[in-house]
Order: sequence, then structure tokens, then C-alpha cells
Amino acid sequence: MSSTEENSVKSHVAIDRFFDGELMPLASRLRASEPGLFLTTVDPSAESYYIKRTKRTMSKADFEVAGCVDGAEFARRLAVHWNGCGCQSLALSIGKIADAVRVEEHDSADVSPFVYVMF
Amino acid sequence: MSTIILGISAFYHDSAAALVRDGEIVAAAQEERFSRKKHDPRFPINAINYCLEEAFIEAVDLDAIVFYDNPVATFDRVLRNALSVGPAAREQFQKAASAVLGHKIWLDSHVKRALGTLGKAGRVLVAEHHMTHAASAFFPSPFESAAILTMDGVGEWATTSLGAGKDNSIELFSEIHYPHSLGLLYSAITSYCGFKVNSGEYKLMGLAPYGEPKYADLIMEKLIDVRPDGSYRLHTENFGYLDGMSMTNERFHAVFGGPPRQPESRISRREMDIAASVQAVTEEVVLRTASHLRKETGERNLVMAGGVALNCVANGKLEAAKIFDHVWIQPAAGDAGGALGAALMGYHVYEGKPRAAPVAGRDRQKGSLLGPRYPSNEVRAYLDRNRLPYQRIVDTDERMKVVAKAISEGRIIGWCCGRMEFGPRALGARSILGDPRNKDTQSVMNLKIKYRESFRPFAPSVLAERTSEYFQIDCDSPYMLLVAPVRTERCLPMDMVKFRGGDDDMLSVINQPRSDLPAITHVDYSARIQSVTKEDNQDYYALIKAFEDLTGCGLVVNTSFNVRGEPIVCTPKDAYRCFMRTEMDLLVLEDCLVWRKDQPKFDDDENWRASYELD
Repeated sequence: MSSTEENSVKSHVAIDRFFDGELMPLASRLRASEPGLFLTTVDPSAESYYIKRTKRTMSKADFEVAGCVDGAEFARRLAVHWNGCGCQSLALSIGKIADAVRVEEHDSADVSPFVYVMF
Repeated sequence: MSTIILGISAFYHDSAAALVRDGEIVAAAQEERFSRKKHDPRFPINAINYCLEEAFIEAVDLDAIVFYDNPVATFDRVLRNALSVGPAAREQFQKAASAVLGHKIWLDSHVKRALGTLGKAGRVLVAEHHMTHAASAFFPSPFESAAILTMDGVGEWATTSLGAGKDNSIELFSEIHYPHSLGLLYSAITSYCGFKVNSGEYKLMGLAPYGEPKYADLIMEKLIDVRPDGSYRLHTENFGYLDGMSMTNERFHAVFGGPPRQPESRISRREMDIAASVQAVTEEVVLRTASHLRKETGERNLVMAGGVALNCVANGKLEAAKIFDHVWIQPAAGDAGGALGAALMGYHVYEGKPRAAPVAGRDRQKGSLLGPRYPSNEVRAYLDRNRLPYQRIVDTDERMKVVAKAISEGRIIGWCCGRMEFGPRALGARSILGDPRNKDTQSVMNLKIKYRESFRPFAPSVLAERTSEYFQIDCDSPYMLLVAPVRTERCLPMDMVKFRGGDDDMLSVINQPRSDLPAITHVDYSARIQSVTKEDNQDYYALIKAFEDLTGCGLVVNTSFNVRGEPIVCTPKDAYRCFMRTEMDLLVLEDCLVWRKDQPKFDDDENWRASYELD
């Protein structure tokens, strides 16, 4: 097994562990408290399905959110993004996964046939 | 002191780079053209290097580097999707999390490693995905203010955004969010009909005129609910992309009464009718949305971007409906164009720099000829080094006469002249050309040159001043983004009895001449028009003019210079290789004419039919 394949296996293990150990338990809890995390159904009584944006323009500060040096920084960004919502508790673990799955060279030119949803 | 901004799109599909100096678009190119890998999603190092070369600058000179998508917001969607779906989302989450966490969030690191610097800003800036689409549509447009409509598969959360642009500001006020997406509906049906998602949508659009919209009501009932203002939601339980690794699921298949068509298998009446149906639904959504947007903004002008804006049939209907006085569509409407939008957002919104007043009627897209050019000396160096015979004709008029004569004699021409196009359409810089009057041109070009399905039509490049003589359209279409009817008096009656009677054989229709321009007239008597002006492309205009002088016909057939599944050619070497792999007769590389009959035996070092995956 090459080092790339080994890393890939390690990544999958880390993500699977997170999926089973944290994400799905949270999903169960949220399903009870927040039924319908998505608006997945049609509503024949709705006049419009448009969602009004609360923030209509981008400020200078909005551009300056990138530049993660490590997983901990990404975790902090997620925690801010999820401030007050149930996902916030996941941020730390996701930061650790990010460090584990980080790939230095993007060497695959393959595009998934499932491009829209994967990323 | 100039302000120079680099825009990047990457790690999704169609990676690209664009460079803007003082608000002027200096260069833009898609990575696939250099790497020769269709839809290449990798960090666009080759495209970036080209942009820097074109601007004669080093990376340290960049005032800012702007990425076209916010990775935090994208990951938020990925995670919430899994939370919503539950255990069935495992495989999808694993792949999506690996992709975002493995690559996309480490932008600074990717840029620093590739360029050795983060530019003067010292960090990579991030713009919202649909903001970059909006910027790519509004800032290069010829309008001082305009309504903005962006529609795609998904970017972060948004799938459709409505807004307005004025001077140097962009405002988006309404959205439709994932999982509801017109782009994903179109892609799901593309997949169901046996074509590849993200590249086969164009085929579905080309197939639609063969069918009847018999399933349109069913789609409106079972797959999408559209409100009078154009807003919509999908019946997501009938789609596969929320909880699986395919666009459709068994319930989706049941809607159409059977399994999906297998890729490369025979296309049946059912696929033709489904294609016609989703096309009709798409047009309905676009028209309703545009009407709503006109009322909301009061604007007379509309600009559009996002992958759905490449649906030139819907665009043509929108233009003809005159909901807006003028419509301008970004030619690189897909994600590659996000790089351009990111650069323009960086300049006008982040830096707060003003937008120059539009020059009457002219956009700032420069004909979308924003890629590399290989001048005559470089072409000759390549040909001489490889001992390839060629005829050099320096005088432009004389050269155009020779090429025009070859076209008029039924020859197929590979044309690689000037700066390469930015966007998926060939606009007369990397094009294959033929005679539109010849009834054999369509089948020869499809089967012997492009090696693609015979049902797919070709587009005309027409002298702008003669457009209305051939087509029922009253505006320019410089980027081949509008479909319009061929003038009635040019059309010929077709015998559709057998086909309409249930015979699925499209060849019985394809092989009938449909007008006095059979090669560019689709089966519904429409054409996908490119109007050509001297200002946008002097050489290409001169060629069509020479063809007109010789034949009286002011247009040529124009299709992209590639074979099926291959990125459009970029360099003279790419062009020569593609030329020799096909049955083209003449290759024009700037002022050098390369005749097939003079060429030595071509030893192909690559099994290109295997290399270029079918779409």
C-alpha cells in the first residue's frame, strides 16, 4: 500500500469515526428539537419560495475570512459561523479531522460525476 | 500606481484564473486548456502563470488574490446535509468532507506553495460564490445599472440569486437555497437520459427539439413546484443527490416509468420527450423569474451568469419575450467565470475602485478573447522544428481568400488564430469551420471530425450586420449564447410523418435539408447564433467577409476545435495533433496554412480515444 493510499484509509477512518460518534448522535438530537434542518418539502400554500438575504452586499471584512494555517483555526471559524446553533459542538473535532485529511498536493485531475454535491 | 487583482476558481470543476488591472480584464483562462484534462478541478497553476505572463508581472506584484467560494459556508452545507439525511449520507459525507477539508480550506497554503507569495494583501481573500457570478455578469456588461440573475447547480448554499448592480456595487437580495436547484433538476434529467452531469446538459438541450414536452406537467407535479414569481422547490424525496452518490433514485425513475437510459445506448423517443419537457420547464422558470426581477428592480437591463445561463435556448426565449430591454450574459457563465468575478469583486468591491462608464453599446469582455496567443514566429518555430510542411501567406486578404475558397469547396478547416477564448464556446479563435450551405457538412463534422453524436447541431458565425437577413433576432449575439429561429423564407418543409408517427430514427430527420443553410439549422428551424464584428475579432471577421465575397453567404459553420471529450485546443501543438487525428483538410495557424495532403505520416504517441473520456 502506498503512502497516499495509507493516508486515504486513515482519513476515511477518521471521518467515519466522527460520522458515527458525533454527527449521527447530534442528528438524532436535532431531529427531535429542530425537525426539518432543511426545507425539503414543497408548500402549496406559499406565495413565494424566495429567501430574503439579510446581508445583501459584501463588506471588506467579509472577504478576509480565509487563510487557515491549521485545523484549530478552521475549527474557530466554524464555531463562529455556527454560533448559537447545535452544530457548534462539532467544530473542534472537525478541526482535528481537517489536520488529518489535509492533502498538500492536489494530484488527481479526475472530476467526480457527482460534482455539484460533493464539494 | 496600478491595482492588480488575481481571481481563482478551483477544487470543484473547471478551475480557472483571471487577472484584472485597474478594472480592465487583462487575461483569463481555464486550467483544462493547459493540462489537457477536461473540467480539470486542480489548483490552476498553469492558468495563473499564463495570466501573470500576459500582464508582465510577478506574483509579488499582485495587490490581492481572491478565491471564488467560501469554504466555511460550503462545509456548513455539507455537514447540514448529512445531519438532515442521517446514516444514508455516510458515503457522500466521507467524500465531500475529504474534498473540502483535504483541499479547499487550505487555500493560503496552496497559493503560497504555487506562487511563493500571497500578494500584497498577505492573505487569500474569499468572495461568495454567487457574488462572483453576479460580478462576472455585471461588471463587464455594457450597462451602468442592471438587474442580476444567477442560476447554477449550487454554490455554498445558493442555487439561484436575484439582485442588482449599479456603478461599482453588487447587491443580492433574494435566493433559492440547496437542495432546491433548477441546475440540479436539469442535471438529474441529463443523468437520467444517459449523459454525463456537468457536460452533457448541452446535449440534452440539443436533443430537446426532437421531442414533445409531454412530461412537462409531470415534472411540474412530481419534481419541481414553481410559484408565479419563478421561485421553486424540488420534491427532494424524488432525487438521489441528498442521500446517495447519484443524481436520481428509484422514485425519480418511477416518475418517468422506467430505468435510466444507459450511456451510449440508442436514444429513444422517451429521452427526446423528456429533454423537451425539462427544457420547457426551465424556460418557464427563467421567464417567470425574469418577470419578477423586472418588477422588483425596475431595471431595463438584465445580466446573467451561472451554469443555467449557458442554456442558450432559454436565453433566446428570454430575449424574445422582451421582459427586459437588453440582456447580457457572461460567456464564461459556469464556475470558470467565477475566477473573473472574484477578480472583479476584489477590484470594485474590496478595493472600492470605481467602474469606468460603459462606452455606448460595448461591453468590457473583449470578445472573450482573453487567453494566450501564439504569434506567427512561434507557430513557424513549432512547424520548422518538427519539419511539418506549411504555406505562409502574410497578406491577410490573400490568406482569407485561400481559406474562404477551401471552405466553399467543402473543406473542413481547423482555425487557431489570435487569443484563445475564455468560456466553453469557440468564438473564432479555436474553431473548426465549414460551409453552412453544404448538406453534408453536419454529418461530416459530427462523424469524421468531432466523433460525436449525429443529432447535435452546429452553430453559425455570421457577420453582425447581416444577422437579421438570416435569423429572426434583433440584437447582437457575440458569445453564441442566444438561439433564434432561421428566417421563415429560408426554411424548407420537412417530412416528419414517419418520425412523428413513432419512428425513433433521428437520422430520418437529420438527413433532410431544413433550410438553405442546412448545416446550421436545427430540426426546429432554430440556430445558435454568433454575430461577429470587426472590433471583436478582426481576422475572423475578415475570413467570413471573404467567404461572403466569394459565395454571397455571410456566415460559416463554427464548432469548437476539439474532438469529443477533449478540452478545446490551446497551443499550435494541440491544434496540429487534433488536426491530424481527425479528417480536417486544412489547419490555419495564424498566417501559416498547413494542408493535410502535404503532411507526413502522423505517429500518435497517445491512445486519445481512451484518454478523452466521453461526456
